[in-house]
This record gives sequence, C-alpha cells and structure tokens, in this order.
Amino acid sequence: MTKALFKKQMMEMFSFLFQDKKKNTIRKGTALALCILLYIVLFGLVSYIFGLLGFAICEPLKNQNLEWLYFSITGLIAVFFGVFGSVFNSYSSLYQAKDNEMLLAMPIPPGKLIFIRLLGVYFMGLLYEMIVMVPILAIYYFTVPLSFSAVVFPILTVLVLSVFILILSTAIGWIVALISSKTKNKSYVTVIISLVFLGLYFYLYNQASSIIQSFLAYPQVVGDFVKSNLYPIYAVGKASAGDILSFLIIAVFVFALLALVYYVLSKSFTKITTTKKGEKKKQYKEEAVIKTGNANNALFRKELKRFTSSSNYMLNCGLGTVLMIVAAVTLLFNTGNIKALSAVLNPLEGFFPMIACAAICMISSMNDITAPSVSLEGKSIWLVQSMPVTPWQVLCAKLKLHLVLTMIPTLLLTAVALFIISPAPIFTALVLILVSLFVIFSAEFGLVVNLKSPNLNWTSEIVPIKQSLGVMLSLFSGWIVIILLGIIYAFVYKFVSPLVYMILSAVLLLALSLFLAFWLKNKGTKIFAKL
Amino acid sequence: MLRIEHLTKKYGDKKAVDDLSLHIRPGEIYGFIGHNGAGKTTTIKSCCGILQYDSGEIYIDGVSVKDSPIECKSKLSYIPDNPDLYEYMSGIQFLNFVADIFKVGAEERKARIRKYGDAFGLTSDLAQQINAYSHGMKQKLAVISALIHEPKLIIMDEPFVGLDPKAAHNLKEIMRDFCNRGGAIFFSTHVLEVAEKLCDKVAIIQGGKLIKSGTMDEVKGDTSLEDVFLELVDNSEDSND
Repeated sequence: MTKALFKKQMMEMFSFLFQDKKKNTIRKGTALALCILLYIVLFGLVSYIFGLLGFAICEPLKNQNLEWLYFSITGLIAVFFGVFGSVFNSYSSLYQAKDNEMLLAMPIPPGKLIFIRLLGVYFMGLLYEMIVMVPILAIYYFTVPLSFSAVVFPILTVLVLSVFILILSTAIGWIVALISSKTKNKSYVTVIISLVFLGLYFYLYNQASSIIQSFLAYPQVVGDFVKSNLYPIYAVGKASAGDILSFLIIAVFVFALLALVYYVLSKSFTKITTTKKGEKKKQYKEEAVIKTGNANNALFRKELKRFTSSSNYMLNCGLGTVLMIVAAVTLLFNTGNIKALSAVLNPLEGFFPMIACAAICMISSMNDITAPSVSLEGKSIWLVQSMPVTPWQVLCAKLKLHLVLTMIPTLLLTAVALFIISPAPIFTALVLILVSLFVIFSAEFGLVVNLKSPNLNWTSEIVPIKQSLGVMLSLFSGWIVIILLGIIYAFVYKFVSPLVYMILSAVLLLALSLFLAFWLKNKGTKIFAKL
Repeated sequence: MLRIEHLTKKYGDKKAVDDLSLHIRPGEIYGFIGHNGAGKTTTIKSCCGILQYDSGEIYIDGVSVKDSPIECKSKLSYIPDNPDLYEYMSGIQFLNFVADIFKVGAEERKARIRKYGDAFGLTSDLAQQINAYSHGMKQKLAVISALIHEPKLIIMDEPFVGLDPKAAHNLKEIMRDFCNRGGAIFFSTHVLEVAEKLCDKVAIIQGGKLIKSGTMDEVKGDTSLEDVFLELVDNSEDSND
C-alpha cells in the first residue's frame, strides 16, 4: 500500500518532467533530457548566486577557524529558502488535493496518507535547500582539507535541516488550513498570512545581508555573538563542522519536533480536509445579486474571480503586484538616496532612467498570471468551448487580467521612480513606453507558453500554477530578456547612447509583442479550440 | 433544428463516429442510446462545436457548425454528463455569467432564474459557492443555466444522472414544455425506460455507427425499447465478429 501511494505521489509530483501534457504522452529520450537540462540550467542560475556568497565568506572564515560560522549562516539561508519554496506547496498538496476524499474512503490509515503527502512536501523543500547548499558544500570541500568528518557531517546536517524545513513548512500549512477551515474568504486569509510570512522573510533576508557584511569585517565578534545568543544556529554550524554532540542535539531536537508535527497532523488531517466551511449558509437575495453585463466583461470577471478565489494563484502568480506597490512606497521614503545614486550612476544622460526601467521590468515580471491560466480551466473548459464566444475573446480576458493587475502597479512604480529621478521628457516617455511594452510582452508570452504546454488534468491546482515547465519558463523569460538587453548594451555602450538603445529596445519589444499577438490570434485560438 | 449528415470523427486510426446521419426537428425530443464508448458523447460534442470532426456536416437551425460555430452555439445549450462548473463562483454568479454571455436582459434572467430555481428547489442555495454543491445540485444548476437563455436546441449527455426523483420529474416536464413551444432536444441516456416514455424519436448507436433510428413506435414496435436495444446490439456484435 505504501509503495503504491508513494508511486502515485511521485508520479503526480514529477509529472511536469515526464508527461507531455499537450500531446498526452510520456516524455522520453531527448525530449526528457532537454526538459531536465532546462530545469538544471534554471536552478543552476539561482545556485550560482549562493555560490558567489560561498566564495566570498568561506576562505576568510576558514582562515580564522570559523568554519562552523560558514555553515551557521548558509544553513540559516537554506532553511529560509527551503521554507519559502515549499510552504506554498504544503497547504495545497496536504489539504486541498482533489483525491483526498477518494483516498480517505479507501482502507488507508490517515497517518499513512499524511506520511506520503509529507514526502512530497519534503522533496520540494529539499530541492530548494539543495539549490543553496550544493554550491555551498562544493566550495567548502574545495577550501578545507578533506577528511571523513569534514565530508560527512556537513551532508548529514544538511539532511537534518531538510527535515526541519519540512516541519516549518508543514506547521505553517497546518495553521493556514486550520484557520481556513473555519473562516470565509479562505483565499484572502491565506494570502494575508503568506504575505506576513513573506514580509518576515524579506526582513530577515535584509538583516542576514547586513550580518554577512558585518562578519566579513569582524568575523570573530559575530562568531562570539552567535555562540552566546543564538545557540540553535551555533549548533547547526558546529554539527556541520564535525562536532558530534552538536549534531546529536540538533538531530534529536528536529526528529522530536517531526514526531510531534506528525502526531498532530495525523489526528487532525481527516477533520480539516473534510470540514467544508465555517460560515453560515448565505441568504440568496434576488434583487441584490442579479446583475447584467456584456460577454467580454463576463469573461474578464470570470478570470478575476478565478484569480481572487485561489490563494495559490494570487501568491505564486500575482506577487509582483504587491511588491511593486511596496517598492513604490519604499522609493518615496528613500528619495534622497535615489537622487544621490542617480547623480553617481548617470555618467551619460539617460543611463539611470534606463537602469531604473530595467529594474521595474524585472519586478513586474514576477507576475505570471497568464502562464497557468489556460491550464486552470481544467475540466470546466467545456463551458467556454460550448458558449457563443470565440477563443480569442477567452484569451483576451486572460490577457486583460494580467494587464490590469500588472500594468497599474507597474505604472505607479514607474511614476514614483520618474518623479524622484526627474529625467528629461524624452526619457520619461521612453521609460513609460518600455515598461508598458514589457508588461504586454510578458502577458502574451505567458499565454503562448501555456497554450504550447497546457495541462487540463490536474488533481491539485498547485501543479499548473507552480510545478509546470511553462510557468517556470514564463517567470524566468522576463529576467532573461532584461539580462540579454543588459549584456548587449555592455558591448555596444561606446557606440550607442542610452536614448538610442532605449528606442531600439522599445522597437524590439513592440515587434515581439506584435508577433506574439499575431500568433495568439491565429495559432493560439486554434489550439484553444482543440483542447 | 439539428441535422447531422455523414458525420465521421476519428481518434488516431479509430473511428469513434462513422458516417452518422440524423435529423431532429423542432418540437421533438430525440433520444440517443448506445453502450459505453459507442460514440454518443463524441457525436454530442461535435454538435456543440467542442470537437472538430473529420468529415460530414452538422447544421443547427440551418447553420453549419463548421462554418459559423458562434452563431450555432448561440442557438443551443449543452449539458455534459459530468457538469464541471466554475467551482470558485456561487450559483448565482455562474448563472449571471452564462446570462451575460448569451446577452439575456435583467428582467428576463430574473424571471427565468426564479422560475427554474424554484422548479428545481435550488433558489435558496444560489448564493452558495458551487464547490459546496452536491453532484445533483451541480446538475440542476447546469440545467438552469441551459434554460436561462431560451435556446432553440438543447443537447444533453445523461441529464438525469444525479437528479433526485422530484428534480428528474420536473426536468421531464420542462423538456416536454420546451419542445411544445417549438424547441428541440437531443439527449443521450442509459435509462431506457425514461427514453421510452419521454422521447418522440430515438436513435441507437453501436461502434460509432447508427444501427436503428426513427419514431419510438418504429424502433420498438410491440416490444420494449430495452428488448430492441439488447437484440440490436447483440446482432451488431455478432455481425462484427
């Protein structure tokens, strides 16, 4: 039974790799290899950033016999990154999976079911932890003289930390589920809790960055502080550096916590997953609820309702909206610093507006609302297919949702940035045009990617929202476009002024957007009609 | 109202529907019978413009589904065998959505929602989220949404599955009333007793091919529809062997 459940969970989890949802076939050979390679490249890029951190701190800490501090700091980052990656997954895969009731009706003890589900969350957390720890470990092994304990203890500690990531993700997911099962507007509750968590994460991330800078200057002082005041972090560092007692302490602590979490989940799983609502039955009032509108508005409202009813969708695909508003407010509070930076970084007229434009585009590309929108139609796709609306109208509603939720905060952030840096009118106009074109391009690209690899047969909505190649591609494509434009500029900046380069970039983005719009209207609509 | 001419639909090399021709006139309730995998749902989805077929032609009220799918869809309603609706909407939000798509005015939609909501005992639940509905409630909501824009043709795939006896009775009355007012209904069912009592005409399909069609009397003669169906299907299987 356990084997069958485990196999089902793994098939579900890795279906994005092995299944070609468009052709409904199993991916094999070259296609599978290319797909895996793509993920390795994507994750490798993120790993590279952590690798840079490792290079910066490993050698100096080793020279002062503070190897443990290296693992304390990187372990802390890995835990935060791992929880960040898996916490959104834990609630939906544990409590919102469509097959929960079916499996609960089978002769499977809830404890076994939760164990299998936890394995899924564990692997997701482990994956994110590895993105941090693989380069960190590699750099460590190249820096210190190798011995049995120097090789084995860091690996063992990483594994213990992966269990701790599971505990934190699951505990947060459990709290969200508990609150959601008793409240109305579950999606908003989940989003608010998650945003609080995210805020905390970014606050700690900021603090971690200043801590790293401090201990690069005074590593011994920081080491003494961690040792005296932050024992768990110290113990993680010491365990990784080969201290058996520290390792045993953290291992016992983590596994005791795991037992407690497992016990609580086993006892509450059935109740939480089968409690439908905590609210009273709503009264139907004819006069208040019958409203009229046209077909295009109805389709747009449908997309908006789909978006706002799902915390997963909002958090994973619409986070950029919140971040851009936060960024706009942050800019307003740092006007002096931005102006000073503008004076330093503006050797050529228009250089700073160009950099600001690239930064705004990068933040706006965190919204990938269109990327899972076709897949999210799921089994109810027959509705729009059987109604008197064209596929183009349906696709336009999806694009419009992305544009409304992304364009407004993008322009708000742009307006604040332009207000602070006050560039010449031509640059103001170009920045506004470029960010607008970029948002349009991102919306279209997400939709194109989803139409090329749609998945209408999912058991948990987290699969199309988070665990699909299309979403991954869409999310990184914005960054790749900006980075490519940056690299090209680095080669041509001696010959091309920022003004000309921005005009050329706008022309390129316009051409790309027009091409994608043409594709969507012609090929995309045909694909949608055949789904 | 619905004319199917030499419809053929293949999945790979397999013919799911093979040279099928049917004609459903205004005022008729037309039953479509066949065992699982016979090609009923494929035929129905082709008529609704959801599936694209390989050859043949389908006309709704004289308009080709292939050439003018939107015009055809505005004349018909479709209810699938398993109504997967928008679970993130409430019942009334869903009905408003459908009414908006079909351009139903405020007063008409209000009257129809009241009429059909009461008929199916769903009015008091319309403010609830669809994800809290039972299968039968979803089926009722799908039927109400099909009736809200007063189509000329209703195409249904197993419409009685999941309905309680009272709702099933009401649906039969609504179907008859709809056809008496000039509409046409084409529906598939496995419940042969219902088909026998309700349908004016019936078609039996086996392996994608039409094996018998006509008025109820022409098809069943003096025996029951069940006997005729079983005999025809057995004969068809024997001849295929």
